[in-house]
Amino acid sequence: MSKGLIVTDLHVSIEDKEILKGVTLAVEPGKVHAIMGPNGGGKSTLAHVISGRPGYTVTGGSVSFDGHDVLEMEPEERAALGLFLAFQYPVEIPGVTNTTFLKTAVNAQRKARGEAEMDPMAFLRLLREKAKLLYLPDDMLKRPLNVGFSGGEKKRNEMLQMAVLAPKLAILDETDSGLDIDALRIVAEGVNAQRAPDRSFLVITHYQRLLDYIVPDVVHVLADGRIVETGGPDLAKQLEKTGYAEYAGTAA
Amino acid sequence: MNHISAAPFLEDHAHLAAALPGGGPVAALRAAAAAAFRDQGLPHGKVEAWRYTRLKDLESTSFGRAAPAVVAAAPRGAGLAVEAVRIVLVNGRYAEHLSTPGLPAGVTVKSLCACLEAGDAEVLAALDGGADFAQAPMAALASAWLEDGAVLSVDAAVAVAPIVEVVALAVGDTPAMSFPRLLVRLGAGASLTLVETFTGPAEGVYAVNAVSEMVLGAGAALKHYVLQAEGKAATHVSLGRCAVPENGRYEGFVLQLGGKTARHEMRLKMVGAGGEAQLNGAYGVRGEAVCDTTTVVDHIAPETTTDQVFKGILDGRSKGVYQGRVQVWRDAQRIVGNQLHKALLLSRAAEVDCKPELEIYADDVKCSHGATVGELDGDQLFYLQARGIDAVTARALLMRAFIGEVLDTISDEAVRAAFAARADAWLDAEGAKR
Amino acid sequence: MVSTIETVETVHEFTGAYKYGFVTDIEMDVAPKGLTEDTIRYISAKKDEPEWLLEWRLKALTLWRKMEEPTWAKVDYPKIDYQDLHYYAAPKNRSDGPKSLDEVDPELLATYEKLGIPLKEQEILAGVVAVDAVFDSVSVATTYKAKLEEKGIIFCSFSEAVHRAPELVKKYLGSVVPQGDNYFACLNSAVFSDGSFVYIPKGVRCPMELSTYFRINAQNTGQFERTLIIAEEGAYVSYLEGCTAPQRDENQLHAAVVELIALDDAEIKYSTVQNWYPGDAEGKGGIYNFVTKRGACRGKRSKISWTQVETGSAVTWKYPSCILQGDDSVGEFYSVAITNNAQQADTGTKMIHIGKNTRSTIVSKGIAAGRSDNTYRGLVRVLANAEGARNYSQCDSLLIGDKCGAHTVPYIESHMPISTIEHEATTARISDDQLFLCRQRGLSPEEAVALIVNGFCKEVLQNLPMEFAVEAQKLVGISLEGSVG
Ligand SMILES: Nc1ncnc2c1ncn2[C@@H]1O[C@H](COP(=O)(O)OP(=O)(O)OP(=O)(O)O)[C@@H](O)[C@H]1O
Ligand SMILES: [Mg+2]
Repeated sequence: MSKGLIVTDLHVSIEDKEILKGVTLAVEPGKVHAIMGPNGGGKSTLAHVISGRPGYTVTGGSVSFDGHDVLEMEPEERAALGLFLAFQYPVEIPGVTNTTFLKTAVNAQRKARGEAEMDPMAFLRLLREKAKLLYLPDDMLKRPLNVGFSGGEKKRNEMLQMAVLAPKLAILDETDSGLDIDALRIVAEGVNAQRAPDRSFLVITHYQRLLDYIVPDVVHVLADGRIVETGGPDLAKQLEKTGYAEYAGTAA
Repeated sequence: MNHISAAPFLEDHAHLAAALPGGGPVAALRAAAAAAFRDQGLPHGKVEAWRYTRLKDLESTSFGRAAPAVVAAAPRGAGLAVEAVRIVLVNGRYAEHLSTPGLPAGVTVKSLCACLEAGDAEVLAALDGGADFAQAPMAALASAWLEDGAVLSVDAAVAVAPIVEVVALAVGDTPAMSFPRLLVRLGAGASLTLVETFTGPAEGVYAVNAVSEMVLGAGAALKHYVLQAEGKAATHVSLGRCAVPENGRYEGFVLQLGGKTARHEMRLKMVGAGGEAQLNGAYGVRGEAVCDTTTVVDHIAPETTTDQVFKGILDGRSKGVYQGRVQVWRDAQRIVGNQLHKALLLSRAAEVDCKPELEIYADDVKCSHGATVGELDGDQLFYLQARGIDAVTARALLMRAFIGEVLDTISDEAVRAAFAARADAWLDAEGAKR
Repeated sequence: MVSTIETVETVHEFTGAYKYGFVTDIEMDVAPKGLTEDTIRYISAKKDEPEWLLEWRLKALTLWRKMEEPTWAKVDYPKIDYQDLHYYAAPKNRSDGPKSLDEVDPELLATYEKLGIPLKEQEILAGVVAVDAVFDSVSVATTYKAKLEEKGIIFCSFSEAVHRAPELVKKYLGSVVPQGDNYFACLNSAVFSDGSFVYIPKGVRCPMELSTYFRINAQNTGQFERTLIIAEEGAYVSYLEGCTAPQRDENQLHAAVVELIALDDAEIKYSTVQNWYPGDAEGKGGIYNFVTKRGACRGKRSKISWTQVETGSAVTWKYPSCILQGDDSVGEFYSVAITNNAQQADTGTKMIHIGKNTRSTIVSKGIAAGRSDNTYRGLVRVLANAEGARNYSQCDSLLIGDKCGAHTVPYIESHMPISTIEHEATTARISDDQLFLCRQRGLSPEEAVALIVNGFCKEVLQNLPMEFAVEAQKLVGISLEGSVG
């Protein structure tokens, strides 16, 4: 059974328009991969398809995680396997507090894995502890999920969810966008604190800055639905200077 | 009171209608309309759509059919103070000699009477929105006496530059009811700015029962502004109907300032994807008058958007009514429908009744309505007074601002200015009294 | 008509004395089908009622015969044959109910399971045992009773109150909902079986939530329940009605009347969780719930607050209302109405502002799923003397699926310039993004819908007493089962 995430020649379209045109990628446990690339290249699409968002048609290829064919699974089943997506645009749910939401999620995943529900007090302790690490004030835990949160607060809230759910693979879709310098550092530290031999990250970002904090093992460039370049941390630095012009030609 | 007899309004109908223009199909329409009105009787409070507005004068006074009248010239100020091509109806009948000679290219105007006589099937078919008399008792009465009116047509792809104003003028000194009727047809991609103005003797007792149909071709755009400026003792009932087709645009505004009992009803059917409509309005009502604005917006096709804002100012012992229904049909997905009514009550004896209604059968919709009723904002009033503005001026200022907000949505500048002037005049009469 | 005559004849045969109706045969347990004066005399005699109450009932019958069944609500159900119903049934003995839980519909039991209802309570709900057969409850009820009586609180069945507190009943019965108020209330006035009576004396705060659940002596009263709650000056009471678990019930028609009276500075909080049988997925069976609930804030600074969670019944027709007579009185209406499958609900409130500076708040959350229809219908009326009146209404509808309907029909009538009325309504659906977020975090579609809908209803649910709120939350999820897939 092959561990980690394996994406093989993935083709995806939306309403007959092909968005991903054969993406191949493997993230081993414990590794951090970064995905960069121009706007509209298909980064979020890849993240969504891996996590099972409806609305996409997979026309070819496969995605497996820890040996499971995830494309056949419901989003919640993938979540229970340990797949986590930090949304580029976090969603609001009026009336459902942050705490309730996370408690429900934690217990749903535990149930799916055949584990007992978490003791409510233990859960609260865990939640507070993680919130503190992200400098999220306690009152934010009582507020409805993301409602009225600032852009930066929403992103940090995604990180809180990641910290509490402790996934095996976390996909961070532009979690750094819209963060001020301090928040960026806090988020990065949050991620680094989570780094573990059995946990991997797929970090989607436009900026080298984040990768200064979260040093990736591998950097990919995704442009026009394809991985057009793969390299080490230096690739990101080089892109910072040259931009994506070099890959523009591949669009055709 | 479950039925108010229709008989006084249909006296000798079979006999008299036989003398009206048009052949068999027209006669059949009249007969069907008369039967429908007879069945329903005069609308009254037990009829849900009329629960707040009683046509008291029609219940008590017998209104005959308004006779044809010869008017040498339209009275001053009958029309709106804008540069316009004018079509004049006197007691519901097309008065060619009062209407502007020479029409812009692509525009034709005919008397409805001529169309009926010529057996114009298209015109006949366009009347009465498929003879939906069960939902429109007063329109049924109007159709029972179908005789004349104006038919305005714009060829496809023609953008009519000048404003076209249809003035429905009531004259005469006996209580009589006239039936102004207008049919507007825009070809595909055509556009038109239309004003309908209703007016009559300032003091005389009379009744107007008007029906206007607007038929739009694909992608056509209509601006439809209605000014109801009837005399103080008038009973005014009007019904407008427009089906907004694929990518069609409708911008409506209804300003009601006149009448003793007035009701304007606008029904919009969003029948084509991509259609958009804005339907706004304002009313001022005082004395013992009743002013009713009713709208029915039907989202039949998916991807249609409508927006409605109405504002009213009420004084004296008057009554203001706003009823607005937004319906979204099954499978009409991706709909936006918003609606707002705000009423300002100036007097303790005035009454406002409001019934905004949503009826929704599709799930991908964003619909909302809001309603507020209250007095002038005390804080704002105080703020102005604290800056040295006297109470009367401050009140007037705030009322203008209140109405101005919705008048500003009229996209035609000339009409906006003319409507604002009418609203101001109404408010001034108000200010003078205080 | 024919059936009426038949009934009369049946009655005649039964009693052998038509003139006195059923009175002579007081031992009989079920009145024959049909509604006549004799039915009413029979009911009244069964309950050993005073003459005035019998007259009161008979007057209602006379009025009712002249009335027509209302048709304005957005509900559609087959015509009810009022002569084909039993109007009185004494508490059933054990022999006709299920003998053990093994005989109970497994779906009902599955729901109890999900709600976490203890076994003993399941047995009561399913009709396996009578409430008074459960010694725990009896003792609980009697201890409560003693405690309440100490404070002068009367909490008993309506029938009992007729004897225990006749003056109060006579004074207040029909004073908020007169006999001829509406068709169903009028029917109830004629034939009401039993219900609850609560009296809180001056200045007394009722020390516990009063609940029908703890009332032992009024079973099988669901059909034509009559409840009267009186809070004297400065009194406070919180009353809970219903149960979160679906109740087994044979009666199809429910026409209850609830009257609340709050005097100066009194407060009544009335919470309902209504989960009668909604019929099956095809719309077969289920309860018609035609209820008239109204509270009069008679006193200055009095307050009446309705909270309802309506998830059951095939057809719901219900408008808990407040008549705000006393100056500075307050009316509140918090409602969650969930319809799924073929259910229909037409529910809302009326707030009638009569006194000065009266305030009302309406928060309504309607959730429609399946092929159901869900209508909010409300009236806010500000009368000419209600200077300083304020109303705020928020009516939100949520649609789940494209085969259901959600409707909002508010009536707003104001005669008073120095007043503020604000009404807002929205209709939307659960967004795909919200659903996906929840599932990405591990929730099943059902759990996701339950969570999102609970959030949508939060403002209302948090008004329920604690122990009820938790069950109501679960109920929200259960009611919507099968709505996404
Ligand atoms: N629902 C949709 N319908 C139609 N096209 C879509 C839809 N979602 C995405 N696309 C298109 O797919 C392409 C890839 O979008 P995606 O969001 O994956 O890009 P991205 O690489 O994440 O871009 P960014 O850096 O701006 O976040 C874009 O051209 C986008 O317009
Ligand atoms: Mg993206």
